[in-house]
Amino acid sequence: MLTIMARSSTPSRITIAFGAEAALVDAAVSQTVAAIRGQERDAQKVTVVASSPDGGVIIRDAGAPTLFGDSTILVVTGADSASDEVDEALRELIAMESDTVWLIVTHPGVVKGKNLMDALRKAGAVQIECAALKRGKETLDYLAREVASHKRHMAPDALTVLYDAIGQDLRLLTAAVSQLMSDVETDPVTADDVRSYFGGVAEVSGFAISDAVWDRRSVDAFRSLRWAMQSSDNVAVATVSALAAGLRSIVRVAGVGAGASEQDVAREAGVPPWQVKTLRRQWAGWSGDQRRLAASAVALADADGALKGGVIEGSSLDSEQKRMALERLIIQASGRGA
Amino acid sequence: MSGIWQALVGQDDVVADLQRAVADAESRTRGEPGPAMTHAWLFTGPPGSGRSTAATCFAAALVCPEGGCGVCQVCRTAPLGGHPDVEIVRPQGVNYGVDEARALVKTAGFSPANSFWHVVVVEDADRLTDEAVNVLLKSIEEPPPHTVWILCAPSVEDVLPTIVSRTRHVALRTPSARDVADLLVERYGVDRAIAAFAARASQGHIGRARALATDEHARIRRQDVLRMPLQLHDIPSCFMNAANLISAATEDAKAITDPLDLFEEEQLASAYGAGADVRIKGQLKRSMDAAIKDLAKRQKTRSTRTVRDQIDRALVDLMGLYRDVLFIQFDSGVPLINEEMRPQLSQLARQGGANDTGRRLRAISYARAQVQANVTPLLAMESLMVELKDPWIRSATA
Repeated sequence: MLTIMARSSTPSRITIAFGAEAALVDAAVSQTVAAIRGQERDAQKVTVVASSPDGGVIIRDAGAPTLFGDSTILVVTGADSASDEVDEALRELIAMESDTVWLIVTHPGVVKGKNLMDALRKAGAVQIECAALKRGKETLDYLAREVASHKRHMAPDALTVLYDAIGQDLRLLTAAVSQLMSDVETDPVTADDVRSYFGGVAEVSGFAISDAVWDRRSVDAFRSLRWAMQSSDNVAVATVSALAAGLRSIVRVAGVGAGASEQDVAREAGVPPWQVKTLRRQWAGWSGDQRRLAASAVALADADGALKGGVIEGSSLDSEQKRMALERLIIQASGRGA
Repeated sequence: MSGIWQALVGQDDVVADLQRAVADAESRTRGEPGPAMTHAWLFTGPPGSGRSTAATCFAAALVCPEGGCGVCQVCRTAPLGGHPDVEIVRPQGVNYGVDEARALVKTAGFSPANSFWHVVVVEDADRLTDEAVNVLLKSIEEPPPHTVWILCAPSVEDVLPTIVSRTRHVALRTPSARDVADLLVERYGVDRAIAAFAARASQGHIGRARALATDEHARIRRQDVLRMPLQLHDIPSCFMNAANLISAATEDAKAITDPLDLFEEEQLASAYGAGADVRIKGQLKRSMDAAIKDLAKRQKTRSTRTVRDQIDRALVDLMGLYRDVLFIQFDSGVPLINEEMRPQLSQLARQGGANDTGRRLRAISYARAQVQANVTPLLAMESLMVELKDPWIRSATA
């Protein structure tokens, strides 16, 4: 998980999660709540969206003294767009200095709502920085802290490989670190470990899958497909269309004839010149297996129909079946032999 | 045949039934029984057989004081949707949804303005979504006393059974090549030989026959498509033919939709008072922008549908070609659709057996279904061309 707070720290009565990185804000709120519950096990959590018109009423209710002095954790989200009622109710609440209410406010760190934030800070709020991490060193430092929180080590180049492979998405990065920590038993984790888990992930787009398929690298194609489908539910049709575009380029280049210069081929086949070499290589890879390549064209159209609700009525697929259809397609297209 | 019914070709039985219905409709206006008339009709017939023509002629005859004289103002305007008591609905998008259907039910309930009947003709009722049909059901079953529904579809199977059971069925048949050729000669003054060719090649599709008889471009396009099976040597040539078919279909579709689009855009702009030297601002501008967006959306689905129709036409021509090949292989003596291509067809026939041809025919009809089911057209055609070259290719996909 994302580590925001030191484990031993005592929560403040008022906490501000300040910044636009949603992953960090979520972690800040959930860890603050956990810390509060560590002190007061039965504290009730109430969440209020600051822009909601009845938010003020809920906040006043939460702030009202209770019969048995039960504690309430009041989470107010999106304080930059707080309605007038919410703004007022929050100011009343901090003026009360209640000792049964724990207040957590999230704010995306913009200028709007600054006045209210200042009032909270004046009342002794602790601020957790949740600003989006800058690319590069800042994110790498964050990754290193993440690793340290697991009481493990990772070689600096391994961190770089992981960061390059996954990109800026903090949630994915955090999940990847925690997967590495639990799957790799040796310490420190090396760059090779990272590559074997996350190699080829960065460029997971339909085109990466397409390249792998037409290069007949089935394993890479599968790994990319799994990753693509994990990061988004709606990649199936896009994947088919990328595969079709890839096949089309290969076939067009093949149709121009081997003697022509790369420039001529590119112009005639309608592909970028720098791709011609790759496309020719891919075509050559299928020279002894043309029938299978032709069959792929049929399989692609079939898959497109299946993924778009079925050509024959009543043959639409659920998401699991769609994944299987794509995997079958990849086996069919990238495999060898009949 | 006389009056407005002249527009129908080779449909004598249907015309007789409809004339009886018009006569009985006339009795009904005097409060007498008229069993041959009813309030809901389903006109079916293969594309081009004239089912929409039959439906609009029938509608005009119902509102014409002379029962379809064919010459009066009513008979000339009603089939074009120019009569207040005849409403012609042409779903132009890929399909026709609930909102449109609700609006239609409302207008269908209006009392007639100038005649006894208010007729609603739905061309292409097969494009209605199931939900839209359900909205119409109630009104079709029991419309207001003066309302008449006429739905058109290629076949009974293309509409929901709940519609079929609530309508009286009129089945048009495919007109014979002789009927179509006669029509082309008489009405359009086409040369007899070209008329005969166009009638055969169109397989009874009257509109298509007229295009082939009068438009050289249409003949060339058809030739291009029919030459494709002879050009499938390897994967690159299959893909190239697929690309050519799609670009021709897209180009022809654009030739149909572009002028319509432009006309609609100008109409919309002038409705809002916009012009070259007038700038629209504020509230009106926002409202116009919304209308433009809405129009663009409708134009987009119309263009998708038109492209699909063009592709389908090419595929029907290809089916005709392989049908001929099959008949040559069976040595059946049945007249060929593409008689003028007999040498090339014989060459194709010698290249394989009847079971190969059967698989190719099945591949084409599957490709037609794929295009209707929203498979990327180019992809569907690439797959088809590959399968036409090697009809057993699917055995390599297992």
